Amino acid sequence: MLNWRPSLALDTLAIIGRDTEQKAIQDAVAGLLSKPDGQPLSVAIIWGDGGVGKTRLLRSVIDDTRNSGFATSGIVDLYHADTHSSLGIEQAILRGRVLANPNSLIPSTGIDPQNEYFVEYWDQRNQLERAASEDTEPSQLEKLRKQLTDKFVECFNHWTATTPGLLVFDTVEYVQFGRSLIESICEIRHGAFEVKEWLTETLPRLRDTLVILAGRGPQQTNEQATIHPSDSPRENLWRELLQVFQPHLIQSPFNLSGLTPTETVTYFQAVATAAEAQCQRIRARAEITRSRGGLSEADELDAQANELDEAVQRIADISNDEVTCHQLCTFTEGRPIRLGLVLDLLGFGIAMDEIFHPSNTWLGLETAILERLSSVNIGFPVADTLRYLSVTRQGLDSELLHYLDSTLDEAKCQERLEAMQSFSFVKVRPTTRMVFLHDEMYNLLDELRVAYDLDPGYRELYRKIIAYFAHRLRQAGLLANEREAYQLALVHYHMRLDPGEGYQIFYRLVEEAMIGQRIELELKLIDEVTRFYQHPQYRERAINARVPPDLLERHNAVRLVLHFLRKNDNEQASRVAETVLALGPSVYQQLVADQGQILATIPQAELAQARRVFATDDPYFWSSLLTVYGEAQLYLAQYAQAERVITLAIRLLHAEELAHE
Amino acid sequence: MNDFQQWQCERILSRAHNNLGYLYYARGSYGQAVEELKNALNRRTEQDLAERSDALNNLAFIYGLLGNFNDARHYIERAVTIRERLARRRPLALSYNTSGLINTLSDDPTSGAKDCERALQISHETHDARVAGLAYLGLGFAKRRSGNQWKLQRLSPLEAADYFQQAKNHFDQALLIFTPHNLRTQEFIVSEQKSDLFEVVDEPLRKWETLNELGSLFCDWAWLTWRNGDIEHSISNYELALEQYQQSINYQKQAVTLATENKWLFQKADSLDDLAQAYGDQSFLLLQMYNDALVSGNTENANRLATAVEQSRQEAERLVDKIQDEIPQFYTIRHGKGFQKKVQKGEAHLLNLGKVFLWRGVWNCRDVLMKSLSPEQQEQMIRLGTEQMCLAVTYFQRYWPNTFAQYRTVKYLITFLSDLGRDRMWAREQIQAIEVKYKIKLDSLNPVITDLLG
Repeated sequence: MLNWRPSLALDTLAIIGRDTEQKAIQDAVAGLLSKPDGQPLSVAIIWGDGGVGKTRLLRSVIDDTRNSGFATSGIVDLYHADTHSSLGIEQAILRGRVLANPNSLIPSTGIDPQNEYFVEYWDQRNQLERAASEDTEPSQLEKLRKQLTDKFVECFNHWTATTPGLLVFDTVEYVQFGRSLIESICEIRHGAFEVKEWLTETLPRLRDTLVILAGRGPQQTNEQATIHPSDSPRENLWRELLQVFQPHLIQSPFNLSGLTPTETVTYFQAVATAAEAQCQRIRARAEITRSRGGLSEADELDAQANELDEAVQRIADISNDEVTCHQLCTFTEGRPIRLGLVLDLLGFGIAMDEIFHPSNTWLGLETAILERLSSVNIGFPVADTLRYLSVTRQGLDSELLHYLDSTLDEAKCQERLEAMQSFSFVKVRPTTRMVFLHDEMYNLLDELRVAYDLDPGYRELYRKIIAYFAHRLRQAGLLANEREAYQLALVHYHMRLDPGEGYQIFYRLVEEAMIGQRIELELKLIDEVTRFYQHPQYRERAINARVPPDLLERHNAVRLVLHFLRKNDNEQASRVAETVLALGPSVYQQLVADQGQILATIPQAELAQARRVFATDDPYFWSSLLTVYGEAQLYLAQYAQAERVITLAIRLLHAEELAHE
Repeated sequence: MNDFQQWQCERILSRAHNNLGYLYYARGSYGQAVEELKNALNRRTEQDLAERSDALNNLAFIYGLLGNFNDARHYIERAVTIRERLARRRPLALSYNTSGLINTLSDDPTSGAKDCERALQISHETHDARVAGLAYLGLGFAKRRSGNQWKLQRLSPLEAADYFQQAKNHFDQALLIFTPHNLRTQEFIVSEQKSDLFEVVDEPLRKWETLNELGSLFCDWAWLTWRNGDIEHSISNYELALEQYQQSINYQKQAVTLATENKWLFQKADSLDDLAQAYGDQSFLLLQMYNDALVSGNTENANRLATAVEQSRQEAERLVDKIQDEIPQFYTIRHGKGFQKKVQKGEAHLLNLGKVFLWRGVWNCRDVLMKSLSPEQQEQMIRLGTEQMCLAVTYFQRYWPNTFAQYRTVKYLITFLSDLGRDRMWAREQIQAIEVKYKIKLDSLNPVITDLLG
């Protein structure tokens, strides 16, 4: 058995410092319970930076409302790829167990566990999935998708007429990546399959339900730059959501900040109390074990309890030391995740003055904390597993860990992963049992790792991860969703190892998804790469690898034309292509008769950005666009224009071939 | 160029050449379309099976149009094999439809209809309007060809009429799909209620094809109605046939207008050809009615019909002249000089010119059979008809070797001469004179002359 011990950064029994938010939500819950059926949707919006305690608050709300007779699916975390489509969200709501509180005593079973109210929905969903696999025409698929949403709303409202509902969405800020620049300037919405449209158009139709939307607020911070630094998509997203949900808001958005010094003291005291209680539980277990003859195991438990006791004492000392508490609060900005990290270290017997110096700020401190943490041994060096966890942002399970470190058998790997879960910054996803780090921790580790090019050790690690997923993909009998998950993982890790190569793999997979009409996969792949570009340092590396974010925007333009072609909507396909041509260099502008008129329709805010994205002489992009535009023109019987643009496309590529020869 | 760029380059070029293939097809330059599609096929890397099958399918289609059925079958089988393996139903449906067209064109409309029905079935399951529209077109074409088998005594006139009615229903569905809402008439709104309610596909070329097919269908149907009037024991069959000719004319006029609006030379010539055929056939029906009126002593009616005969025939002649005027002179056979060297095979203008001379020849032959002519006039008509038919054969031959049109023209001419008792010697002399006059080769006629004229 590994010498692992429970984290000190336990969830405290009572949530600290969120009284206002809790009260407002409880009032909304009470209001829903007291009013007759058919109440319009209520919405609460919670903003807060990473690690400030949003998720903890959400868990608390879920537990409280469940106790009040509400039904909920738990937290739908929009970070995960399987929620990057509207179908994925519906699935997450109905099947539940998506990031439910692992410490909650009440298991999350999802909405309608007996499948009483959503039978028709699932029937219709099966039909849609069959239609998609049978190559049904895209417009028809969209129609079926809309009908399915109607059915979802109907079943949902039927269900909430008996049990009020609570829907909780976390990391909502990720929805901002839903729409490409070209879709935005041509004012095109795919609607049916996209998450933002689902949130803004479907949610308001739900009744007798409280919806909580949580995420990083509209203020853009440095760590979350955008593809185009001049934009503020997160701000735009929240503005749009606020506009839609204004009539439904229970209050203005709650802006969570860190704990105050006083709350920090309370927090430490509460942790000490919780740890003390845990200590007693361990001692009780030791007694029982001893009475059953398990002497050595009982001794081990006692040792753990003693260790915990000492830690509790240290925490109690800090909580009594206002100056230290104040310092800690300042350094950590009162963010519970950071305080948790400090507590974790205290738990390992590392003294406060070893961790930080009063003149440090959190930014300097976090590296020291990380170093300390890495040196901890809990029967195995934490640094080893932390290293694997830090790169496996798609989650780590025992099988992958075993693949990465073949000296450990799978059972050992499982033990280690379970041991790691004792840390406050490690979390597990109940649906998949995949282990993740907290976002704050990923960001911290990312900064240390990608500030410069990857060192050989990490490159090797990424290669192994890629080899693992490539191997999984080659396995026979994969289910569609498994194949999809592995493909997404491949793109994810390839992009981080080598953005140039990663982009090529992404490009081929997107093309494949388009040919196979796998719209959801296509959107998820785009989303994956879009998110990659959000990270300033990854973006920098991608630019150096000659796959800048603009490449994706240009690729999106060609994809959009192809989508309309596939839907037999040749007019729209031409309109999109002509918009892009009008934004390009003069040789392409000349191909469009009414370029001035086209440009006049583009909002000024986007025009400069669009001009910059399409001011390229990339022959592959222009020849792709001209070829598909020519195709649309052919179907519209505009043969002269079709010939003009297609022959130009061919000339461009021949010139490129010659140049390389 | 790295591997990825090479791959991208190949894919884009392949798609671009495939598109050019469509462009040349739309312009009636089938020879060039074949070249482009072969280029597209050569560009494909083996891994891009889905796109490779596009080029294979399109190549099969063009070979089918050219009457090169062996190659057409070879390519369509490859396309179907790939698409069945890929299990993508939409492209597979398109290949079934292409296979159907090839079968119909190669005189097996029963198999053709079966293939198109498979395509239609998939289009219903996948709600794909374009595939449905094309399948309805293919089915209508197969049913029209099936109906025409009454001429070979393979089915009764009633059965033939039933096939034509089925063809009409299919073409109506295709027309609904390929006609944008803003161009729909009241008539459409009524028929829309009976349709399968597919989305509209704005692809004007397919609308033209449908109108053209409807025009040809009514022309065939009118011929059936006229030639089998005695079976129905009623003069009203002549009236019905006249109505059907009028419908044919109406559809072909719409097709001509659409082609003119879009500046489609080949399609315009094609529809004018078919329009000329409708007027020409109508003029002979009117001539039959005129002859009947004379026999029955109804002079007043005979006089009225004589005017109608003249007007209809003049319009037919005017139209074929117009086609010849509008086709670039470059394609025309010159006295004593034959074709210009640069005239490439596979150009649909050659097909149109072939038809122009075919109709002129056919009308002269029918004049000999139906009009009261002096022996000198008859002789002159027979020689003129023979010359025009020989020119038609030459155009068809240049267009693409051994086409069905060429075979049919030769057979018509030799049967006509045989019926008039002309022998092999007479035919050979005539043909030699024509060969010298235009500096052309008419070798393909020799075996048939030997077979049929003894």
